[in-house]
Amino acid sequence: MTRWKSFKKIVAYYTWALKMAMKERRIWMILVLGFYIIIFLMPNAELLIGKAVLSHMEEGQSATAYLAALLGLLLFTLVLVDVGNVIYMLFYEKIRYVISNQLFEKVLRRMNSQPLNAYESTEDYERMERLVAAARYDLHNLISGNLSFYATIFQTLVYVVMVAATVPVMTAPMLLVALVPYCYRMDEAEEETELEYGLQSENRQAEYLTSLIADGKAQKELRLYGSFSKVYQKWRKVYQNIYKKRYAHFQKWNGRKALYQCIGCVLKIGILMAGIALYYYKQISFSTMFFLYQCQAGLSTSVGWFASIVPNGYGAACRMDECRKFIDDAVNEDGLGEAQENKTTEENVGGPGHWEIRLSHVSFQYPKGGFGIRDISLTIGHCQIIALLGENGSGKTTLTKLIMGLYKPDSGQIQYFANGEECKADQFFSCVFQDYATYHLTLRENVGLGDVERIRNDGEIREHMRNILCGDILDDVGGDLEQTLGKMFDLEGKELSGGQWQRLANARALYGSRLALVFDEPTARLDPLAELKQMKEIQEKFQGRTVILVSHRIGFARMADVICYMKNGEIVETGNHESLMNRRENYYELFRTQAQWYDMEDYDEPVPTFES
Amino acid sequence: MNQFQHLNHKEKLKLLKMFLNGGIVAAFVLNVLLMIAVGIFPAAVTGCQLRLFDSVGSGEYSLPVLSGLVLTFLAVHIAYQIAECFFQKYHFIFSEKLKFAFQKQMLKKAEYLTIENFDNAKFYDLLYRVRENGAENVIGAMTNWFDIAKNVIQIISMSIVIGRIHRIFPALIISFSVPYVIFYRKMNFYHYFQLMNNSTKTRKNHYIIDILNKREYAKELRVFGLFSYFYDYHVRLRDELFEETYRLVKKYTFYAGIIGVCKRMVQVVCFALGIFFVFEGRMGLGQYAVLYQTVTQIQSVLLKVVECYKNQNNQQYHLEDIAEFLSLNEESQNAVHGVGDDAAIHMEHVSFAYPHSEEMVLKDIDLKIPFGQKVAVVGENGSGKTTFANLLAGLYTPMEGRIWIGGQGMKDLLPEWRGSLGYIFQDFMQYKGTVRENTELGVPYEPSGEEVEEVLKACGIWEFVEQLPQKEETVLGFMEKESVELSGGQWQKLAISRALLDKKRKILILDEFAASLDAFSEADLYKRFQQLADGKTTISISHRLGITQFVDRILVFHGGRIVEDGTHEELMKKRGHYYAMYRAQRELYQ
Repeated sequence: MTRWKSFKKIVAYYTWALKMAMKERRIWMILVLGFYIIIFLMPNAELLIGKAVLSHMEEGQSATAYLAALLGLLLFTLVLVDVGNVIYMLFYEKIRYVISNQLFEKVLRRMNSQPLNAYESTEDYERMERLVAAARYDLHNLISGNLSFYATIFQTLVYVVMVAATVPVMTAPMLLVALVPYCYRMDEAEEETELEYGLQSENRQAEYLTSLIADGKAQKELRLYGSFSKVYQKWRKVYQNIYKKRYAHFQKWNGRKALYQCIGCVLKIGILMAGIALYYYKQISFSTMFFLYQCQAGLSTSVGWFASIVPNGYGAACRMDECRKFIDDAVNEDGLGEAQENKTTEENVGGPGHWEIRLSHVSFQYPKGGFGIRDISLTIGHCQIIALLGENGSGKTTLTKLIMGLYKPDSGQIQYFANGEECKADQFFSCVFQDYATYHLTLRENVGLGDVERIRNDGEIREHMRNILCGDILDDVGGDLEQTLGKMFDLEGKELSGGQWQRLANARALYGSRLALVFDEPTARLDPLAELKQMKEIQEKFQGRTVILVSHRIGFARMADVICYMKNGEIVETGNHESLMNRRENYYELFRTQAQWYDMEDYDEPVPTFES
Repeated sequence: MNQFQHLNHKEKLKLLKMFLNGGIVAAFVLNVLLMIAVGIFPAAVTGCQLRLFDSVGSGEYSLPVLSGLVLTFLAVHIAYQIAECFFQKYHFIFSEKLKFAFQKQMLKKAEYLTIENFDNAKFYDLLYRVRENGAENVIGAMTNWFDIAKNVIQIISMSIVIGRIHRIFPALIISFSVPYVIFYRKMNFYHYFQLMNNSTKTRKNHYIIDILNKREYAKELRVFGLFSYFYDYHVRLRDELFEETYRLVKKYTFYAGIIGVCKRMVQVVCFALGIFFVFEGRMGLGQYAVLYQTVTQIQSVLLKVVECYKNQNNQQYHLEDIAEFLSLNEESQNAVHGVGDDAAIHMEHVSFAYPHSEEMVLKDIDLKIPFGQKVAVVGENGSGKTTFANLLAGLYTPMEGRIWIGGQGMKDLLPEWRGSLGYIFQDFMQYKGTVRENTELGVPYEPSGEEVEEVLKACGIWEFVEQLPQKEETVLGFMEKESVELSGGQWQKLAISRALLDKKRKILILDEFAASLDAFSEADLYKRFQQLADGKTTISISHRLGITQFVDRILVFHGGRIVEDGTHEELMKKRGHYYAMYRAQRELYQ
């Protein structure tokens, strides 16, 4: 009975696809569907006309006009098929395109409105991949298939009616004979879907390993270490594993298919024999017998088509299930509807006045990770600069991500207050991460994406770049903001060094008037002079904003109003530089450890501001 | 890169032969034989049909004759199914094996491609096209001729069968195929041309879709609210790509329609002729019935031949892409000389600019580094430090000047020279594999468990790894269940362990190896550095000038040149670039 359930599922999705298409362009769809059904009924018409001609000739009549008319009709039906095809291709292509894009958009938006908690395990990752694949390809295939689905059903029905009208007793046997060779298909489709589901992670691995060929960064490393052959070895193992499983599946069903087809052959010959016997006993004419033979062939073809295409829809239907459930879940999640897009309301622009972030007893652990934060309570006040310091893995970056609302904490609360009233974190933050994004797009985008509304303001972007230590990059490209960066898409793309990408990422974060800034290692790639300059320039931009700094380098920490030292996910020390130095605990240790590398000579001259 | 360099037949055969080896040949031969065998059956079926309906239609049948004919018919059908079954099996085996061989060739080729290729957008386009459908097209190219042969045999045999009725029928049917060939050939050229021109756009579209849904970009997308911007970007690209394909579809459909009509007319003419012959008594009713059936069959097989022919054109273009890929510049796989143990480095008036770029990143670098010296390389961003290291590693070749290692030219020493280098990258990779694999990729051989443990301890990450669920077999990067996430500093320590795994490497190049490390790990590493660097030449690129305590010599890069060269004390006295940088950084700790 699961077979029937699976079949119903497939039918449900074909119908759903049809409904979506109807909603989109009702008149066109009716036209296209109508024509498509007519196309599929043409073979039936051909058969009828052929039978008429043959029986006419059999009776020995020679009314040429009648025959000529019949032939003319035949020509017409045949031509109609071609015309129908044209209409289908022209109109349906567009409809198909529009609908599959709609679903893709919904999936992407929904994905984007989720907190990053949903990206933290392999299962999640694979699920996301399946959803995107479903939205991109499966719906497209379902929509392509659904017209043929309905048309073939019509076709089969008409065949059955034709046979029933001629020799009623043969109807059931012929239908049975057409169905028998394909009764294994549903099982095969179900097993195949299960197989592909099970192979998803191996497929991803194989895909990842071959994608390393195209990765310039990986190529440099592996070339240097001489270990590329290891990638090959691993790929080989994974691939052979996939092959073995696929082959086993194939073998099993290939054999079964042959068996069923042979049985079907025997049955078909049986029908033929029955037809000949009927003719022998003068029950039916020659033309009728031949007509039956052709109907059998036609039935087998249409059922065969059905059997070959429809069960493949099973995999697509399962994935669409997941997809629709994912989209429908959106309404059930609390507080996480569609991400609001760039609505710079009056409150946001110009600031909400007094603005505060409060964390109370917040804890968070990555689902499979080794670290997180524990029971953190913290208040970040209005226009306060707060620095988070600590060892690798102490939870600094995690805390900033929680503050920005990217993750939902496991327990505790994070609240945002504007003028004493609670509000949401959307659109208030701007950030630079340790693993900042490098967009292989235009220079304009790399800076301008910090404030998408103003991405077209050339003058402002250029001025901003000069103010934030990116003037040299601007000069290098001759002031051309349309210059592509990175060599991925443009031969003339400009390759940037690590430090230049970092400065651009900083510029991006500061372009715009967001109220809260988060900087995670903003100067890791910069040389000492640039670092000092950047710090000074960034500090100027801090006026009137709340800033959260994360760094290993003490330099930034000193300018903060409050320094929080984190250890193992907890904040163990709080205070400003002087007070923490006096305590002579963790912060003091950190400071001394970094300072030990510099000599303590006294220099008479001031620090030079060397213009490079 | 040359578009449309036409492969002649010899080159094409050579290319295809490259993929045939060992196990594939047997599968290929069987595949082909069965393909042809399967091709003959339809004609046999038609023949049987003809005999059967003929005898029934003409009224002459005795039971034994009839049963004999029916049984033959059945036997032929069943044999057909069995042959088809075996054909599918060997077709599957052959295709899968060939796909494997194809990917293997690609990986093998990628192992030795010169790095310059990876700075070239056209290369990425080529790679994309080759990867997308490469294997299918090679399979197609190999089996195409046989496919055509099979179909031609089918057509000929079926034409003979109905030609026996009257010669005119096959002639009529075959004649309509001429316009098809011309039309398809032309369409295909445009189709592939369009595909090539759109490769960059298609890749960019994939890139934008990645930005919209992959984890790496998720943070920025949310914080800056970039979804709409990138979604609109994607829509623009997607619509442009669709418009172009749609335009082609429209053209194609109209032509196909017109030619379809011609085809139908030929069919009807055949039927009319058949009726005429029946009235003239030249044909039996049974024969007419079979004619009716066979005409459509022959037409569809003819279409298949044309389809094969069209695919051949398509495959030709893909094969040219593959040939181009396989002929890209490779590095030499064997060094001419070996590298001595105490090799000194000498860069002689080296200048360099990246391919397709006009500005010189390095200008007239001339220096000697004796073996065992500890050198620090400092300078502002973009002054050429990493490029300098890349050249030393032999990843790029200088445009002017030469690099000598121990008296031998660098060219003669590649690729063995890299075995003597321990290189830590500034922009290191985070491999999606186990912890162990991330370390192991630092050497071409299989290191022992102790070696791995030792180097992980040296990098200060062993304690962390020990408390992971599967220790060093823990998976990173969400490729398998139970994957774990690491912080930036932890990834960096893994990257360092990669470079330091092979202790026999005599020359260490360290590019910002402490950038993501906290103060304690940094201090730890500096201290271990002394042991690690003992008896080796080290070149450390660093912004953190603390490292200068451990080196003998400091090189200061500025605008692609070396502007200062000396010890810490010397350079501080000079009151130059180095002095400024050192004071600036030291200031923070006052």
